[in-house]
Amino acid sequence: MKALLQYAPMVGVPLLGIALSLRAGSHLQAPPSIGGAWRVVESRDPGPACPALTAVGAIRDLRIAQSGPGLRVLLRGEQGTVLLTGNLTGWPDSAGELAGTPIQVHVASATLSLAGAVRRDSLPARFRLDLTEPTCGTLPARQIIAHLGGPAGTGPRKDRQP
Amino acid sequence: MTNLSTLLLQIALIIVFARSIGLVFRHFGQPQVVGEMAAGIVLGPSVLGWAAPALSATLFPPASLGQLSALSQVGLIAFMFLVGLELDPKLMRGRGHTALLTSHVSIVVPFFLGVTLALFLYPRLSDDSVTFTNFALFVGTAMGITAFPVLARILAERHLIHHPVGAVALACAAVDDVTAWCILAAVVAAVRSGEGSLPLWLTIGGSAVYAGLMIFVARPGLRWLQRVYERRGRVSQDLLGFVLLLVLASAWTTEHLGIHALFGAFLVGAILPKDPAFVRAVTERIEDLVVVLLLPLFFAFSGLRTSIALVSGTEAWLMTGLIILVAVAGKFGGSMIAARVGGMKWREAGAIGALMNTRGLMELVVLNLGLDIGVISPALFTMMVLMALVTTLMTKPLLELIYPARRFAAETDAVSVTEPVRRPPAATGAA
Repeated sequence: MKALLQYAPMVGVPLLGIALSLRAGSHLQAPPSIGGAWRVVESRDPGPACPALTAVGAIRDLRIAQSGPGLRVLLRGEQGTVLLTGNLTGWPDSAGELAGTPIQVHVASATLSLAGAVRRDSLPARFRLDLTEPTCGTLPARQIIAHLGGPAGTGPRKDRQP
Repeated sequence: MTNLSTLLLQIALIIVFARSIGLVFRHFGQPQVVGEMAAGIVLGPSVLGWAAPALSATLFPPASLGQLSALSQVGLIAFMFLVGLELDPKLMRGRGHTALLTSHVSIVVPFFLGVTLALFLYPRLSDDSVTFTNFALFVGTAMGITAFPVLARILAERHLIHHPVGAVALACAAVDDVTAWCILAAVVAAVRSGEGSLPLWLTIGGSAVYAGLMIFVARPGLRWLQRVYERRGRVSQDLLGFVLLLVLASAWTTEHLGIHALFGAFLVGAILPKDPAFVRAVTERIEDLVVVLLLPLFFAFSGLRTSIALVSGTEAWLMTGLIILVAVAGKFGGSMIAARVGGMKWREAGAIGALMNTRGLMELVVLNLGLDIGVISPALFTMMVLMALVTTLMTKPLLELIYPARRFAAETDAVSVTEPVRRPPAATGAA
């Protein structure tokens, strides 16, 4: 009897706590997922290139590792790769996303800055981004459009590594 | 460099780092495994990649990581088989009220604290591709892990296997391991079912049927392995080949059932005959290769995925501190209080808590699984790797502080006067 009196609260109370926590958490919202491999389908370079952009060359794909709103974006160009870090800067609720409001992204490295908008409601999901080199005068941005799910063999869930 | 020469260079480098850093840690009284875990981090982006990015990119080009990953997975499958082999179901029964209470509390309290912590972590470190329930169950399971091999090694080193503290700790760790792997299998099944593989009911139902078949049909049927061993007096190559084939077949089956290959390997280890001589003979044939060659690859691969740069800023470090605090409070605090309530003295109860708090390699296995299936993010992975390192590092000093070795030795001597001394179970050298 004594054993049961010890066992019931020490195991039962935490079990109840687990159930309550799971219930409480079911209403929580996490930031939208944009992690994975994005394949560049369109890139427009509006004019004379800046040194950091030239060093990377034409962008082939982006790999995004996401931790909550935190992002690490690996830009893979024809001549090199560059790592940019930053955050999701704004995201709509599910109704807003259905209505076409995009998810806002801003990441940067020492030399490059990337600002963009992701729309997950289009098929495939679409990432429209402007890549600039802030220390390189007021030259227009390189405009890029990428689709989720490339290059071959990579997908959104398998590519969460840093 | 060709793929093969890159791989050979990587393996050589990993062995050198793992052995040498492991040796340094052993010199300071820590289990070798802590040094090997640290070696993995040193070879990854946190140290080598940060200090010499060009060298790091040459030694570990991203394209080469696939083969390193595959080899490390094979090593992990063999290791999980050894962990299962060490697990003696007798440890889980007949230890009385204290062991029952402590083992159940040492699972349920850290699990509860982990699930509660998930309420805070989910919006900050996860995303909407993972449901809160899966995330919380995973964090809860990761908090509840105890490294059975590390614990067995520490107890064997101190000749504590048959001391009441050692016996209760071993029983609790065995129950914890089995429970944690069952919960984890369910979480993996739930996450993978959303990825277009088998439906959830088929994964869970199939896994339950498979586990039942292995335990109730295959287990009695495999007793002949022990008879063959006894007749020949050794584990022959044919016998070893058959056992390895069983491990691979079981790993393949659970992988295809939608849980993970590791579960199948663990299951085969758990159902093999538990005669100590047989267990030791099989372990000795496999262990050295796994511990010296294959497991360091897993540590290195884990280290390559661990980027301390992801834990940047005060908030991230506070979150890491909170994760460590919750992990220690749940496992150390929960086990200690349960053991005390169950009738042990405070000092003994504290020692149980310290032992149960060690997470070691098992935590790393669980975390890599979580990262693979996308249930935790890279930043949370790194934070929890740090938690695993800290909780494993603190085990021996904490144990020494609470219950010094000389005191244990004196009590064990007193026990051995009245009880016959039995051989301790094999403790996987990877401890």
